[in-house]
Amino acid sequence: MPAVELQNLWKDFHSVPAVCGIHLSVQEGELLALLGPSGCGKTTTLRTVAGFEVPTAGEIRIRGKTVSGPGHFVPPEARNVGMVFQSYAVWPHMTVEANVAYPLKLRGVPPAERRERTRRVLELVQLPGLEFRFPHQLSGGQQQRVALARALNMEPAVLLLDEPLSNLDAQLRKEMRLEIKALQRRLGITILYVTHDQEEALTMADRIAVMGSGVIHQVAPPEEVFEEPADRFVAEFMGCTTFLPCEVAGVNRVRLLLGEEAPTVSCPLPSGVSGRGVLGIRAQEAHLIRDGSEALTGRVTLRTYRGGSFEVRVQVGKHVIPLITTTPLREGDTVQFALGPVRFFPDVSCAIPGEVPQATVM
Amino acid sequence: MRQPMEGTKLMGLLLAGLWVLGVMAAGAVEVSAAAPVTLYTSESLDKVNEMKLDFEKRNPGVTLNIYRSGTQVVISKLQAEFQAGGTLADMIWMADIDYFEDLVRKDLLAAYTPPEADKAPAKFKYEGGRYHEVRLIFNTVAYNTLRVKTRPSSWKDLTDPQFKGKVGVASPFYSGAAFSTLGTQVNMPGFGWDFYRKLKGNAVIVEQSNGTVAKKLATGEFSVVSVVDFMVREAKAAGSPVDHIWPKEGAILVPTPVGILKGAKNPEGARAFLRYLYSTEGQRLFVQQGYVPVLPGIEGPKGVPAEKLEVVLTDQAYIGKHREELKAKYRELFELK
Amino acid sequence: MPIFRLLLGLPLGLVLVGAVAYPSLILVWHAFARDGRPTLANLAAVLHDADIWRVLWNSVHVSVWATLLGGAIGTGLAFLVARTDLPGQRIFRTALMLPYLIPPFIAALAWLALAGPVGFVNQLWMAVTGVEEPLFRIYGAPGIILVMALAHYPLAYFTVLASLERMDPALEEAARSSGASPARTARDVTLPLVAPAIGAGAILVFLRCMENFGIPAILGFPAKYFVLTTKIYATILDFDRAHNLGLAATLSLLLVAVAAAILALQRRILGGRAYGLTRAVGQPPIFSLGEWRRTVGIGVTVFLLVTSVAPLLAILLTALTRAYGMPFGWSNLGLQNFHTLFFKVPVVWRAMGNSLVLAASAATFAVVLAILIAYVQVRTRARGKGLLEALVILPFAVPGTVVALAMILAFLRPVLGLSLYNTIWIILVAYVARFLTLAVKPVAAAFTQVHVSLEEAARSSGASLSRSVRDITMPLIRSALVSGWFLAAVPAITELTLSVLLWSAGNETIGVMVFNMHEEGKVLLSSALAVVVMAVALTSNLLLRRLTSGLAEA
Repeated sequence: MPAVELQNLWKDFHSVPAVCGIHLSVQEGELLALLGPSGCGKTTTLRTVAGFEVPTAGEIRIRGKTVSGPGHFVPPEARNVGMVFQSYAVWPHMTVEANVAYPLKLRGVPPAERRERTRRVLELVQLPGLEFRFPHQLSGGQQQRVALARALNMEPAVLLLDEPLSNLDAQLRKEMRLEIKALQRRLGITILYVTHDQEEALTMADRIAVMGSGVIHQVAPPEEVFEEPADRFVAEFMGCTTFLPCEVAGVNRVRLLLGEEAPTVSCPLPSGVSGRGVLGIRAQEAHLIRDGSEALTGRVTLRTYRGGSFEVRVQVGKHVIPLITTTPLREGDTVQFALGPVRFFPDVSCAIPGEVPQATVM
Repeated sequence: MRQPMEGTKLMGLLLAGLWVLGVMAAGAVEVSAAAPVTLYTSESLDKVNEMKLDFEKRNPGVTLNIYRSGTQVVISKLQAEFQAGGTLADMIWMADIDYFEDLVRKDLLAAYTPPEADKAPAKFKYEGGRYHEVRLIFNTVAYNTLRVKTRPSSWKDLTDPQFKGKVGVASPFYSGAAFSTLGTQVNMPGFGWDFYRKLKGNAVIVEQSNGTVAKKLATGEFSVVSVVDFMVREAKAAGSPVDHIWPKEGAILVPTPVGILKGAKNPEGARAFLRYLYSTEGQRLFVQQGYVPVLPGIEGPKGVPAEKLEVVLTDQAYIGKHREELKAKYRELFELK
Repeated sequence: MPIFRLLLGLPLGLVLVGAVAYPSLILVWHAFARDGRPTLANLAAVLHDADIWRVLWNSVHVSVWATLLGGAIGTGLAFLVARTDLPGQRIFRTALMLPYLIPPFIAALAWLALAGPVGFVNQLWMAVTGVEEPLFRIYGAPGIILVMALAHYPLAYFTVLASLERMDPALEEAARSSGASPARTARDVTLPLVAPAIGAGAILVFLRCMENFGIPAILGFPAKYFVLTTKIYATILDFDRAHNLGLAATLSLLLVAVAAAILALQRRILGGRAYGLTRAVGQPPIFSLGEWRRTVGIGVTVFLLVTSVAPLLAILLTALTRAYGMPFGWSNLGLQNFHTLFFKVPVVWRAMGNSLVLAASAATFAVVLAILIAYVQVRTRARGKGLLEALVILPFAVPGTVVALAMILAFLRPVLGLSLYNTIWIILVAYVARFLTLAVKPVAAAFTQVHVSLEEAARSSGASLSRSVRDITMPLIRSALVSGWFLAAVPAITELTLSVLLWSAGNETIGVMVFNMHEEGKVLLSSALAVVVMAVALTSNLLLRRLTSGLAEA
């Protein structure tokens, strides 16, 4: 039984769709990252799970129990989902202990047990001894931990994290990623994690659901999402910065359309594709070669140093392709290079997959 | 700072322009009427303004400026200004003859009797013309005709228990008319402070001004009141359900004299206004406003048997001497302490 | 730059010393002196006067109750508007501005017309029941409390609303996720978090009630019910009483002391508790009213109709009444009072002219001074900036009655050969002093925003100091100047408290005219003029709002 299950979830704001009929399930003990650019509907999805938004249509089940469905809505306080907000939402008028113990207080846990559990969970998030501080006496990172402790303390069916690290500085963010991941492993809790940071999703998630414009483009483990993006949108989100026009030129071969030049390169293609499309390229994967059948030739137009390596821009026909190399090329040099692993996306691949369901108003 | 600014800027310019014009206009007024006649008065605001309009029409070039408030406020202001080295007032006109006596003693009033005053009774040209009664006001008993079935006949009807809590009078601390009435009644046979104690026992309500008393009589908040006569006639003429009687003990003449101050900035204009007040036009306007004229031969307002009135004259000497005592006693009886 | 400094300092010093520091010192001197010699006789007289203690008690009594009532109304409405699915939110948001735009003394007159002894409600009551006793009496403490609360609750409403709207909705959502019901969330999270705002709003309401003159003057005098402000007024005008001005000065200090004590108390209680609530992201969570939604909506509508619309209608009807005391009917309605007002009482026109010229002049002076003050405050490291700020705020922080008395005491006799008393100038000086801080606020804010580097860039480009001010600074702060001008001018147009003590023949203001007509018992005329004042107040406020909202976008 999945911890959370979304079925055909649909949410409109003033008849503008924000979430368009998505299906998603989060397994027990899994950390699933909902990744996408801002405005893609990922936070709205999270908030429907938490119960802060009433879906326009569709069904949400938590541990098999329907919390939202046609004619049925369980308010947030009865769902037992812990939530950590981007702004932490630590109550400024309560001490750390009062904040963290609040869910237990509401559940009628006796004071002694409450104190003990609160102490333990504060230790867990590495905040022992700060029980009687007020939030304004804590750093941002500490407030973050308080928010986490508060959500953990209620032993939620699922923990919802809404961009929890985006207000922290870069160093702390990296630490917290590992810490949250470790906690999740140790406690075996289920986490639905919303982020727009692909690195964060890749490092932390067991599976990633990539979302854009209200639909889910791909749900897969991090490696798969990175190596085999389902479509151009996912590829772009996963660091493909350059897309070159091309057409299918045979089994696992495509021809690049770079103006006068039209080299063919090998590329894994699903069976039965034909016609035009684009090839997605990562600068890190393109590399210089001396020679070869798939070598491209171009002229260096700009070179920048990036510490230990150079990023150069190579002009091929009308197109500019970035590549990273340790060879100290000069601007104006003519070079030969290979694109590395490339991914073909047919022209239609950015269309919304799946069928558009009938919107039924609950 | 883009689109709305244009409008804002325009508005700012416009207002700045208006301001300059306004200041210039204000300056121009000051220049043209270098010395307006300034009158400090407790007369009714709209009536004295009506007189001002008529007077200015008949005396082109003279401007009359009016400071109008309750008698005590006006006297307070005068006192303060005298203390501070001089008043703005050229003339004063209010319901406190005692204060005029005080000014005479201090030699602050200029004697002037216009030729138009020849036929007026001599007793109303006080102190050799230092101040004048230019029309007659009486304090009387008035009642609301919807609420009182039997027409009252005496001052003592104010203490009738059937009107308990529905009796109104004006405050002698604020109204000169009320003060004159107090000073007279405490010496009237069969009245005295005992009458006021009975008034208090009848839950009398002390209002600041006669205007308020008259208004509340009209609306029925009061059933019977002690109030100046003309206000009642005025309200009756406007259609309000009120009337006044001439009490059998006599209506009390409320002196409301007018005088010119020595050191007036525009003595000529002040004299012109006094002449106007005594003139046939002035007297007729008084009648129109509901007052009893002081000049014989001018027909009085409707329903006023001018010659046959039972009138009690106020004993100014007594009031002057016992001013503080009267106030203190009254304060003790009715006010905060 | 000694000349520059002189140019800056001279007018500033002149105005602040002449209009604020000197009158303040004179006021204090008169409180502690008689016949030119220092003495505590005034203080002793005041403290030994049981009457004064009662007046002090009255002041505190009406202000506390009005604060509780107004604070509760304002907080409740703010919560309904900001946190629930109340229907008609947008209309309510606008409608709740209305009582704020009506000058309090006009509100008192309007309530008199509606609920006075012979107001429409009591008339109807007496006509329907045949009883001769009015349903209720508005004179005295209960009426003053009611009208004060209704005139000032928008202050609490605005403060709490701003706090609720600034609050991060996640704070409440976190409670819901933790398992708290909406009611529990409101109790445990929302209420404690807006408590400082409720406190601040209540303090604002309390101070406004303490310093208000118009409402207790109109609703208190007939019942002989005095509060400190009206007692000071009566004492100033009571020249029969020896040393009346000294006693009034002492009373003024007493009033200021009470206000200061309350402010200090607020600082102590709320000192560390102003939560830096971040700006809301996302939509505020809505507490659903559920099946009560309609009922509450109707309730708020009725509340607004009864408290805002009905009094205004009542005073309008009174203004249109021909004869007082006659049964209500079409035949008894007409424009006669307006006709009398505009064609038979010429002083009305002059009073209106005076009020407009005074407001415009005071605002213009205030804005010019505001530029200098803001420059000194924001751009210089001049010593005594604290003193400067104190002098600017002082005349607005203390009650208007106190400012007026200070002006009388300072300028009753000519100062340096200049005679201000009995001229329009004393009113102007008082207005400039009183409303200066209103103009300084936006101008100082604008100066803060226009970073000095912008001017420096102009200087580097070759502009002189004055040129850079003219070309760079001025255009950038111009909209702040306009809004500062209006912020100072709008309250001055309908001002009563200062001018009622400072006016003289020929120098009437429109507020004084309404008040005097009312005092004289000219109910119909004063109502008609009050309607005119109300129209002026509403128009100028709408103009202000339009201008300042345009500013916010810019």
